Amino acid sequence: MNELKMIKKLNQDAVLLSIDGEIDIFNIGKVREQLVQLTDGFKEVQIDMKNLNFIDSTGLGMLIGLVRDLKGKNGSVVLINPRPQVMRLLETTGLNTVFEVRRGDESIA
Amino acid sequence: MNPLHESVYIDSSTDICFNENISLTVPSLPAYVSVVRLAISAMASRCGFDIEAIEDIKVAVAEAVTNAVIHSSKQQSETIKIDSKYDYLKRELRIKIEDQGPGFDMKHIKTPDISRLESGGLGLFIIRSIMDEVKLNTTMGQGTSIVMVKKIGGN
Ligand SMILES: Nc1ncnc2c1ncn2[C@@H]1O[C@H](COP(=O)(O)OP(=O)(O)OP(=O)(O)O)[C@@H](O)[C@H]1O
Ligand SMILES: [Mg+2]
Repeated sequence: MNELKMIKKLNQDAVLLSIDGEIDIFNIGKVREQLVQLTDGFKEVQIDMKNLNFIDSTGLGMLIGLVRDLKGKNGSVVLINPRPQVMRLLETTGLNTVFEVRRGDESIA
Repeated sequence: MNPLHESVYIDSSTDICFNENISLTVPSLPAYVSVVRLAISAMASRCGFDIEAIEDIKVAVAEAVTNAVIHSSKQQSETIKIDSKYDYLKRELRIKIEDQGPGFDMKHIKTPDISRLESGGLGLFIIRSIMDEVKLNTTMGQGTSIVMVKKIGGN
């Protein structure tokens, strides 16, 4: 099981990842470790979420931590195509104002 | 064929969820959070909640069980008790999640300020936002129980 994957390096500063499946307290430790490795050295991190079915507050906390780190480097986090249930959670918590949320397949191509 | 048997069969084939109830006791371990999440969301689906409400219930249950798991050590609370009841007349699902952990002081719980980019403190806020009723009962040194209600057609 590999919830977090590198899709491709977009340029020197930007990387596209995907998060799939379910992120919760059971796998958060491993996912957080992978996130640290895969984002190391990048300022902009784009995350394709179209196959993310479930994320809990610990997963959201991990994403908040990522934004915090990247903001310090003038970077950003872009979430791509979150499913309705994930979007609802982002809106409920106000996190949609912290991340850029992008829709449509053109950004992934 | 036994007519009585047949009528019983026809009755159950209409498959309406009247007053049904799930009780679970699970070990206080991260691996069991998804077990509870899936059991309760399957029940919610059976009882006629729409997809959005089922997702809300799934999230709220996950947050409450996760809190019970992570905020108490194994010695304090070995198990978590979950009780989920559907009330057909009220059209609501009432879920209680109980642990025997350390409890906490509710005075210290504040609304998270997302703009400060601090992680943590989201779980209870999310639960309160997406469920129709939430009652939290916690006693220091004794444990915590949270009762959450979701109504069909509510919120
Ligand atoms: N079952 C519980 N037992 C003991 N303390 C609890 C319990 N549930 C909540 N708490 C306390 O309430 C606080 C707030 O809980 P909440 O779920 O909102 O945030 P969190 O668990 O700290 O972080 P997050 O949910 O964002 O991952 C916790 O930090 C903890 O101190
Ligand atoms: Mg929590």
